[in-house]
Amino acid sequence: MDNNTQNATVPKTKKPKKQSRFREVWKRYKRSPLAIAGLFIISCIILLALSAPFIAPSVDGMPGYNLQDWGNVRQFPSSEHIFGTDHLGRDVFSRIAHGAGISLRVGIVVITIGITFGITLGSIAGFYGGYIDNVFMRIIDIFLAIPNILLAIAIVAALEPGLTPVMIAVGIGAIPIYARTVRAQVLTYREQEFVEAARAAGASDFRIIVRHILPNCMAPVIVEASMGMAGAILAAAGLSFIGLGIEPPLPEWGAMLSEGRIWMLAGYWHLTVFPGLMIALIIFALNMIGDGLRDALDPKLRSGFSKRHFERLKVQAAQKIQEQSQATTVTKEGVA
Amino acid sequence: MHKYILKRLVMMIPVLLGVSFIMFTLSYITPGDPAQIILGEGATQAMIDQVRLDLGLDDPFLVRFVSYVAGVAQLDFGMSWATQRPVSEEIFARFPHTMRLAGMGIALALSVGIPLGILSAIKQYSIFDMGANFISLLGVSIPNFWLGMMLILFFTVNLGWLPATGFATPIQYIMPTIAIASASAAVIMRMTRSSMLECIRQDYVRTARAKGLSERTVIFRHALKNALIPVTTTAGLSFGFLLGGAVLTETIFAIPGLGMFMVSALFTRDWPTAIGGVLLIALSFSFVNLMVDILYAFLDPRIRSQYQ
Repeated sequence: MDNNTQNATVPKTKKPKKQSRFREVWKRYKRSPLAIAGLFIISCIILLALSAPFIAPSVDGMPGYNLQDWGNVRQFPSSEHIFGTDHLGRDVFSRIAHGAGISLRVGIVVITIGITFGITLGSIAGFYGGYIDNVFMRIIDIFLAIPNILLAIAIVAALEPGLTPVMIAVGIGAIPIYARTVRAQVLTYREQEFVEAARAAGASDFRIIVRHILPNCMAPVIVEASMGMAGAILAAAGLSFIGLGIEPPLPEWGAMLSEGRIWMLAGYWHLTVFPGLMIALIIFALNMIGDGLRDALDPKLRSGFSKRHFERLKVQAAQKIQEQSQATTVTKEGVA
Repeated sequence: MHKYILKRLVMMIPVLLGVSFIMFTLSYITPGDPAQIILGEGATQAMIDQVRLDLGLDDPFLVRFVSYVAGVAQLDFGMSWATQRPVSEEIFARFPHTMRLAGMGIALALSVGIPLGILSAIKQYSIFDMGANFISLLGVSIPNFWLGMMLILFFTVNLGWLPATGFATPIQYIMPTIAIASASAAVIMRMTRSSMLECIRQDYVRTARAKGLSERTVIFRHALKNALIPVTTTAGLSFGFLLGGAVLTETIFAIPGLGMFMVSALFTRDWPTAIGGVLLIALSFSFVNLMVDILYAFLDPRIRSQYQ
C-alpha cells in the first residue's frame, strides 16, 4: 500500500495513462488528514513487523518472541522492557513486534479468500441472473443468518484449533459480503452498452466478465477489502482470545490478551493494555484508510463525513449563481 | 400486511433449514467418534457400538439430518453429548441471559447513538460534530472484548467500584452492557448522522422551515421521522452482531449465557448443543429482522401502502 503511494510521486515513465488515474486517486486521497494518518499507522506496523527479527533476534534457535527469563516474570514497563514482561518473563514488546506480522498475514489471507470466492460467486450470480442468482442469494441469506463469529467458531471446531483454520474460517465468513458487493455492481454494468458491444464483437462470457465488467466493479471491492481486513483481524483476535486460534508460543495479539487476562485482576495491567491497544490501532488505521479510499476512488460512494463534500457543494452552488448572473448580464447587454 | 408477515415467517423455514444443514455438515466432517465423546475414556468397544446404534450414528448422512430436523420441528434438539441432558433444556435456560445482554446493549446503543447522531448532523462541522465523529471511529475500532477488559481493569481493579463478573444485579449490568454496545452505538451514530444530513437537505424540510415552524418541530417531526428509517435496519443488523459478540462479552464477564455455553460445547465437540444454540440465535436474529421490516411499514406509509 505505502509502496504504491510512494510510487505515485515518482516521475511517470512508461504508462502515462495508468499513472494519471493513480495520481488522481492519490491526489484525492491525501486531502484527508485522517486517511493519511491511517496510512502512516499501517506503514509503522508493517515496519514493526519487518524489523521484528532485529528487535528480538532468536537466540540458540529459540525464536525472539519466546525468550523466557524466569528471574524476570511479570515485570512492569521499565526502560529495559518498555512494555514489561509476561508470566514467563518474555519481553512483551518483542512479542508484539513479532505478532504484527501475524496480524497482517491474517488480514491478507482472509481478504484473499473472501475476495477470490466473493468475486467469482458474485460475478456469476450477477451476470447470469435468474435461477443461479436466486439460489445464490438464498445461500447468502443462510450465511448471513448466522452471526459471523459463531460461524467461524463452528468451522474452527470442525477443523482443528489453530491459526490456519481460524484464517480459513474467518475467510469463509467474509465471502458473502464481497459476493454481494460484486453482484450488485455486476448487475448495474450488465446491461450497459460497452458490454453489448463486447458481446457483439464476439467476446466470450468469461472475457466480458473479466475484461469488461470486473474492472469497473473494483472501487467498492477495494474499499470493502480495507474495511474487511480490519474486521478480519478483529474476528481472528476474538477467536484467539477465546482460545481457538492459539498455537503457543506464537505471539498472536488476541492470544496475548487471553494469556494476560488471568493476571489482570492481580493488577498486571501491561499484559492486556498493550496487545489490545495494538489491535485497536491496526483496526483504526484500516478503517481510516477505507474511509479515505471510498472518498478518493468514487465520489458517489462518499460518506457523509467529509467537509470537502460540503465545500464542493458550496463552490458548485457559487459557480452556478455566478454563471447565472453572468448569463443574465450577457442577455441584458445583448438586449441593450 | 398479515399476508406479508405470514409469507416472511414461511420464508424463515428454508433459512433455518440451511443453517442446520451447514452446522450438521460441520459436525459430520469433524474428526472423532461422537460415541467416544459421550462415553469418555475407558469405554469398551461393545459400549461404543451400542451408543452408535442408539443414536443412529451409522445411518447415512441424509437420514441422520432428516431425523434431526424432524426432532427440531418438535423442539427436540437431541441430547447433549457432554451432559446427557436434553439440549433444549440447557439452551433455553441460558438463552435469557444472552437476550438480556444483547437487548440492553442495543437499547444503550440506540439511546446513545441516535441523539449523538442527530446533534452532530444539526451542528455539522462544529467541534462537537468532529469530536463525536472521532469517538465513533474509536468505537468502531476498539474490540469489544478488549474494552470489557479495560473496564474491568479500571473500575474493578483500580477503583474497586464495580464487580468484574456476573449479570444478575443492576450494578453488574453496567460494564458488560457498555462493552457490548460501544461498537453498535458508533455504527448507529454514523448512520443516524448521515441519514439525518440527507433529510435536512430535502425540499420538505425547507418547506417546513419556510412556513415558519420552529426548528424543533422541523427537526423532530419532519426530518427525524424520515431519517430513522434506515437507522432501524442498522439497529436490526446490530442486534445480530450483538448476539454474536455476546460470545466474547460473556466470556470476559463470566456471564452464564448461551454464547459462553456454546463455545465450551464446541471445545468439547458437543455438537448437538452447538447446533441447537446456533439455530436458536439464527432464529432470534431472523425474527428481529422480520420485526424491523414490519416496523418499517409503521414508520413509512409509502412502504405500508405496498403491502395492502
